[in-house]
Amino acid sequence: MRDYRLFLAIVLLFLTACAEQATKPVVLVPVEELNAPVATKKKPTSIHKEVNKQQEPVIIALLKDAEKFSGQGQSAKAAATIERALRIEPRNAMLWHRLSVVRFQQQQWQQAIAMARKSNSLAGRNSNLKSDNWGLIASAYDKLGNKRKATEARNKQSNQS
Amino acid sequence: MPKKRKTSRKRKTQSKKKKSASLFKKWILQLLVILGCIFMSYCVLLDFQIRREFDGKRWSVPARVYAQPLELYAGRRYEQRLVVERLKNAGYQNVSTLTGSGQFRVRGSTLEVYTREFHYWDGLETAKKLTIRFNRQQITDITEIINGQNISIIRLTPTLIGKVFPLHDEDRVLISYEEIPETLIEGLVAVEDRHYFEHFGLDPFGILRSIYINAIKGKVTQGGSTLTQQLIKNMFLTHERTFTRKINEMLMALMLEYHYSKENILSAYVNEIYLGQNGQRSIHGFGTAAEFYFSKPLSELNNAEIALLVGMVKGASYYNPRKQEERALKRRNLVLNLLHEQGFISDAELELAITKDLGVSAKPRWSSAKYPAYIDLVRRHLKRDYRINDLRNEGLQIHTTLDIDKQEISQTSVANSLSKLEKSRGFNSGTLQSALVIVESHSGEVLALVGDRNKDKNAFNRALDAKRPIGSLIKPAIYMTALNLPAEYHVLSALDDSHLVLQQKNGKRWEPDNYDKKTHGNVPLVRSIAKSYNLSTVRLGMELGLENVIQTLKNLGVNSTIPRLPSILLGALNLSPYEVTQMYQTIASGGLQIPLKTIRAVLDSNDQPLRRYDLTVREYIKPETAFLTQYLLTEVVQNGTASRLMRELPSLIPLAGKTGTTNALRDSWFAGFGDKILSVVWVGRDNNETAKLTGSTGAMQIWIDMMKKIKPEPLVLIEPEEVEWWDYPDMSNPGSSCTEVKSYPFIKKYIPTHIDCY
Repeated sequence: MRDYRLFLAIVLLFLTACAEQATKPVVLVPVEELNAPVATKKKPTSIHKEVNKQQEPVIIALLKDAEKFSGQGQSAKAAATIERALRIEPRNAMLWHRLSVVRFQQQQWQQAIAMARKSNSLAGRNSNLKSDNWGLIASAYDKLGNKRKATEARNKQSNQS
Repeated sequence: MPKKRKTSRKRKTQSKKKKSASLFKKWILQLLVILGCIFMSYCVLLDFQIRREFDGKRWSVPARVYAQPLELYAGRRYEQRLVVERLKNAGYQNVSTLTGSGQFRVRGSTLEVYTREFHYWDGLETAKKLTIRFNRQQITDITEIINGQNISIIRLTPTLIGKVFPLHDEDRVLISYEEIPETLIEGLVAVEDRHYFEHFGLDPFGILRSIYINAIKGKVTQGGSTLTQQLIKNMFLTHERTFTRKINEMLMALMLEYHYSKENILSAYVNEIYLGQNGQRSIHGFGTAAEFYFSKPLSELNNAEIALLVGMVKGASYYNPRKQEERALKRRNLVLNLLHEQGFISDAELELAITKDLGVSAKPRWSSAKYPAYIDLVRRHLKRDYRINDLRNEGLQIHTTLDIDKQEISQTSVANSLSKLEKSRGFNSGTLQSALVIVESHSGEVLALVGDRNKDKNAFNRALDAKRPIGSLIKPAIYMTALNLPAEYHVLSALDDSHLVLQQKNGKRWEPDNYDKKTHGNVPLVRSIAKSYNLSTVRLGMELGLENVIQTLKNLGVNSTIPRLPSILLGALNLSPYEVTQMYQTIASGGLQIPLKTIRAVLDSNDQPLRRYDLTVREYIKPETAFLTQYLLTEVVQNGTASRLMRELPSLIPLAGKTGTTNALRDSWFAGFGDKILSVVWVGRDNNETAKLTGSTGAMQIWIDMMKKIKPEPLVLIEPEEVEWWDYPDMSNPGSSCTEVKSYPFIKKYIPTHIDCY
């Protein structure tokens, strides 16, 4: 990595040297090496928004329908119903998790993984949900025969719980 | 003896003769059998060909294309008057008492609706009698009138937006047999084929007549073709006049009549026959021709207009009513007289029709559907997502993701904004063009698509096919590549925005410049993209390596070939608005690339969904990297080149966006998104001359105009667990005092300890 950056720095130095009105040489200083302490570190601000708010009745109703379809083995209809709910609340981590479960039932492993990861990225501090998602991801990787990724996901699952 | 010998010789020769004769007969017979076999196989081949072609075209029941249904639920923000408008569009009647499906009545802020039963892809939705209550543009509750029960969510019957034949590329206005006006059938029979309903594909009298005339003239000129033969000629054969072609035509006509009903054949004829030319595209069928010549549907044509079209069958360009008025008028009146002679129209009708002008509209119009550019994309997606064989089925129902409200808003915004921009830039009206795409960013559903400033035109679908340099719209990909290396870059990393010269492979020097022609020294990364500085961006891109930037572009969903040249860093990369939308969809959805789609489901005539190919959802971009990039794009709006959004759409902030401008102000781009809605807009000129517009003075104006009406939900910046917000000196603008603090997002593991303030 260092060699690569040194090389880039040299190339860029060379390029700027070619410039007729070169103003400054460019050297990218890694963050750790910066020695002008103008900024001060502060505690995280409270910009973080709570994601586990009360579920809307319409979402609950649609989730119920989806569960019903799932129970009847109609996974395509279950998926369509969850997608309908997602159109109303695309940032609802629980819905993405449920969609991941249905994709898993449909043996669409890659999609199950993508949906679970999407759920994780929206899950905020809901560690139970994240743990469930990592579990799903691990099982999907098992199905795909990717042991390394499956183990990685299992480790993350145990970190959550 | 000799006599005897003679006789025996005679006998011998006779028997020899007999033998050779029978041999000859045998040969002839064998030859005939062989020829017969060849002929039979030829016929079988022809028969196969004809049935395949004809079945593939299935004129009787086209697929019905629906917009997305309006979903109503308690808590939804949706104006009552808009619901009423949608009900009217869907053919609901405003009544005083609800007696049956498809009716509604308004009582103050309450709406009563008797919905229609409808088959969706996830099942049947039964008809219901509902009360929907509104409070200030919001639905407060929905209850069933019969039992007062709460209904959690309801779909209103989707609007039918067009009828198409999925496997046809052209945009044809298709007519089913029931929709063919009687005068048209009578006219065709009177003029082209008097015995159509009696013959078996060929008209012996017609053939005799043509043979007689051809014999007199010595060459093949007279047709004597039946409607069936004409249809064959249009569907399969070239227009050269040879005897082999004629024989083929006759054979195929017989086969067609054997397999299909007169009604089937006539509807194919009405939809297939050649009736003119519009530039590169042929006008096929009376439905299309009615729109093309008269700018109205076939069902609204009067006798004179129908007669004109019937007359044109003989030679569409010879009798072109826009160019050969007199000839066309003569021909039309001839047809009218024939109709009258054969008793199809009365004296009075003849008199009325014959005195009429041609009535041809000034400008050709062409559209089968209300939203031709969108339907064009639906056709392409049908072939992408479904098996061709499944699409041959009759009577499919195609459920699309089209959001009629947004489609109408975007069309109006484009038309109005372009007129304003033309005035302000001193251009003649019609100089500028535009294209845009609106998608729901998390599902990738295309909600609206504009391919031309004239909403009815789709000769050139710019949203899909106009590949133009994207300018600074490429920059997020470069900054994303950097932020994906959190050990090396963060949002406040110092970038060098000083003068720069690159020696290119071809020996040429490339000296990029900033838009303001100034250099800015050291700038924090976030400011570099917010202000869209070119020099620091090119330096950053070169530092990262072109290969890595190209890889990010691919991960974002760009499929076009990307040249490995430094100039791509400033957007010397030609992409269509559609492709740019895919790229920004991946950013807006937090790194999950979902192929843009227009089709939710296709149902067959038994309301069963067709199997579709699985979606390939890709997650190449880490959610935390996508998040940081989203943050950068909100800074473009807060403090950068898109800050006009702060003034014009204050209630919708935060929004994310990026402006793009290309050399000599040829292309003006804007890509922007809120929480759900993403839209990419392009403005420019077809001849690639200057539009005199930057991204923010052109495309962004249309975007703002649309969003004032669409009111997208503000972007919610929920950070993934890998990200934390920390306070640092505010470096949004050059010359900030460095005393104000501001929260910036960082990857947890790599929180910088010291940062220079610029």
